[in-house]
Amino acid sequence: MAVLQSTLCYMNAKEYNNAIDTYADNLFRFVVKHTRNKMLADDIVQETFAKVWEKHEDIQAEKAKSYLFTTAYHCLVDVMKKESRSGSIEGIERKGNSDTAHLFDIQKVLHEALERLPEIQKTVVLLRDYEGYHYDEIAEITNLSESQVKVYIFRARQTLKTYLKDIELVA
Amino acid sequence: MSKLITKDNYEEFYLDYLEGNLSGETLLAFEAFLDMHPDLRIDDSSFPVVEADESTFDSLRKLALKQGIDMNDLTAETLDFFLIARQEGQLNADQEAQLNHWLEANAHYRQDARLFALTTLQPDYNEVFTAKEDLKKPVGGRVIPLWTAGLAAAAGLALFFLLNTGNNPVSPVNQSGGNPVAVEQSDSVKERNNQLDSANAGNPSNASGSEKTEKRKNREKTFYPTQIRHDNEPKKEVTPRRRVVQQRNILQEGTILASLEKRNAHLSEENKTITPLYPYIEPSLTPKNVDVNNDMAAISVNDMKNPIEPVTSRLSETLNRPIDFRTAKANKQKGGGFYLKIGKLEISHQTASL
Repeated sequence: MAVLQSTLCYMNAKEYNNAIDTYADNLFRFVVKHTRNKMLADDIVQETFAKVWEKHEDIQAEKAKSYLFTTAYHCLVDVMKKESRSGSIEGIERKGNSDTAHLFDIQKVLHEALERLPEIQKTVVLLRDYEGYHYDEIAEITNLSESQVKVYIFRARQTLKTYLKDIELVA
Repeated sequence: MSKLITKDNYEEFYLDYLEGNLSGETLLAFEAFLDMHPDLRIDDSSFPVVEADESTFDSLRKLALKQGIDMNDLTAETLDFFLIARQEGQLNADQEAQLNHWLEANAHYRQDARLFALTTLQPDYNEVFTAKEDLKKPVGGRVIPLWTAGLAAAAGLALFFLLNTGNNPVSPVNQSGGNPVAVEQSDSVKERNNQLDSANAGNPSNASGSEKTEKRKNREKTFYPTQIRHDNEPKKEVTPRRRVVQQRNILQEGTILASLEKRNAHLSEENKTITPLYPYIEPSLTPKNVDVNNDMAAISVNDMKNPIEPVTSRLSETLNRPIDFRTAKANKQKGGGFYLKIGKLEISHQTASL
């Protein structure tokens, strides 16, 4: 895994390109789980990097990942607000689960359960599980308090566990 | 009771009346008031009262707000918190051992523990962002900071002035301001040529004006050979040539003034009766080493005075160069003239006595 140079200097074109190689896929997965629309996720990731490039001279290279996810989250919130008003997301939602057919069954069920979580719970649990962020880092990205993050993660796990339990009972 | 109950203030008594806070004569007075005004009476059943429900603060939130994890809080109701905490890696080895011990004692909660252990999401690595290359920026391009742009502008200006002052003879700088000494001395040469014309003629009154003009033209042609060549030859597109004027040469060696001096000496030998009309100028003439001229009409530089001493002093300080300026008016005994020295540059001029 490529690692950004941990220097105190600010992001330059090379480090920006490294960030694309390193984090674009992670961002995309994070975003597409919310949008359930790959084209929309592409747009959000692109917009995220464009915004980061605008500010790259003010961003420390070592904080690029955090800055990217924070920017992506804000873009995501804006888009979700717009799209939920127009209802375009709902038209696509929950059809594309065939894409995850290759996953293990448990993960497939979990990702189905993820769709049922409130957006904020989905966000924090994705940042936690996909990216391994600590509570304080998630709090910084999502502009929540650490205890709020903890509660949302715990509630999300309860919901996921309940969903797994229900599936197990049916099976 | 000190306050009279009226329609304007009865509300403040009414709330106390409903809550049973009125007593004594105030209670009696208020009930008498309500009897007198039955339209103001409120039905007790329609008066809203908010009662607390049985809800309590979420136990999970309580535990999440706590700093650290206290295993004493572990109960069947709070088990989810501890199972999730284990899944999140928040429990230390001791706490995990206590949790396992609790689960052994309560076997019917083991399924919950197993399910919580499965709740960690794994990313689908087949989902990738495909437009990475479109987002990348070119690396290695030269970034020119602003200060280099300023430097480039300064260098450009310097080059502009260098080219204009060095190689472009048609530029105004070169023609007028570029070589002021050369222009000045060329004019003085012309003047001296005129004087020589008069001297060589022997009797100027016999020479006609047209002859003088002719001689002057010929002599001027001698000093400006390039003009003659241009006049006689077919016109060509001549590349402007830099006109080199070296101040040192004028003052020290091979100067026009020096040649004039030689010519004057030659003429004096041929015709000793003719008094040289142009001033005698030693190239290395300075106020200190100037020789006393035997010619009574000539004036020594030492005899000249500086009429603008404060001005030259101030100018000398400003330019940080020694400036010596002296002048003298011609009289019947001696001639006049001036002497100017700025740094290494010396200019002097003398006129004949009256």
